Amino acid sequence: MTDLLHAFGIQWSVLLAQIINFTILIFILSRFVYKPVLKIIDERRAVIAESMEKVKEINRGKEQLDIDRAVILRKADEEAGELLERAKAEAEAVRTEIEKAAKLQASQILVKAKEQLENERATMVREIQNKLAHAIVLSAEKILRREFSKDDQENFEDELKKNLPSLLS
Amino acid sequence: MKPLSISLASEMIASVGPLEIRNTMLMAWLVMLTLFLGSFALFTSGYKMIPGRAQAAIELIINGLYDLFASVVQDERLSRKFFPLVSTMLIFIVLGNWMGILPGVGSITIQAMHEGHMEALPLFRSMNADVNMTLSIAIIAMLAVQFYGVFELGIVSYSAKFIVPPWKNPIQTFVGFLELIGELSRIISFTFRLFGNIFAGEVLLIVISYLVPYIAPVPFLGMELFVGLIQGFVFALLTTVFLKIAVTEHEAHHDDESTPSITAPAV
Repeated sequence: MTDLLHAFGIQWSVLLAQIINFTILIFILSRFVYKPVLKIIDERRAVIAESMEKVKEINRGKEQLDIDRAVILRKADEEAGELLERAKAEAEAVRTEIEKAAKLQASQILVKAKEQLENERATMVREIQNKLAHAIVLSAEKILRREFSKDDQENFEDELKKNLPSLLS
Repeated sequence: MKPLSISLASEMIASVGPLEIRNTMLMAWLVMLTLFLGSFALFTSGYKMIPGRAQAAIELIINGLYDLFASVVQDERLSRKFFPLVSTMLIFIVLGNWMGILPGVGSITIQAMHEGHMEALPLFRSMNADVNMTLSIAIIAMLAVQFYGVFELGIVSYSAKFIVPPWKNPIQTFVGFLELIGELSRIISFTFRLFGNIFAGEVLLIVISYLVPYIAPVPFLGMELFVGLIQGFVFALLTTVFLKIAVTEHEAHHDDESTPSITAPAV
């Protein structure tokens, strides 16, 4: 046995030293390489998984958003159509009303103008009557001054004034 | 022509008290130093969420190894436990093998006392071309196997794999005894498989360089790189398999078909 150990150069102290060396190496590599590397790989894996989940969520949200957007757009479209219809109807109503009012106003103006015209004509006729009566009276006066007495003249004037309108009409 | 000297044992270059400083130990320290510096450099530069080139490369290696071992263990929790041990084995052995064929290893000599007289001894020698080194890793491997076996299954359940009372099942008693011998023989097979491969490679390189010093050793150097890698994987993966067997419940008393189908490959 000792020959065998000697032939291979096996020595307990060297063996022990190598065992210690190797053990130290395990701890050093474990502390400074394996643990941190595996940890960072795990962390990265977790982050990637999380990101994938987030992407999925975002995609889901986007799909929902698209659906919502379509719904809103359709609704807005419908509302706009409705509004337009209503506006058109209202405008039509307003137009007819305005037209009606304008017609009414025009007819009123026409009536008033006619009235005024009538009034003016009546006034004019009256004035002419007055002026004519006065002129007749004056001319008659001038003629009669020579033949009538003051009293006759006055009587005549009164009678004339009284009967003139019936005469003229 | 200088006489060719091939020594099965590593050479002592100096001694500190009771401890002999062997040329393989110097080599092992060199390998360790390389790994320390590398890990410190990585650690101090900080592991980032968005990795740089160096971190990405290291992550690739570590994650690749982890997935490999985890595929053998088939258990996330246990994989995390075993990983530092088996991964260090692989990295240490592979780097040791590769650094062992660097130029200068074996050719740089130092005058030292050897077998009673001064002699020119190589200052460095491939780390695993020394039974002390391979035996120490093998001892650690098998100690770890026993430790995890007891830790995971409990002392009673674990020892039931080896010790079965003969009045219960005499065949199992014998099988248990064989298992016990098997555990011990694994240390020896671990030790000499690695030592044999690497030492043989060293010898092969020495012989080829001795016969044809130029060009001819190149393919053999390439082959040694490959052998070095493979031996590292063999050692680490076998350890993983043994660990897995150790923490698996022994079900020999059931039907044979229900026993775990994991068996150590004969490498």
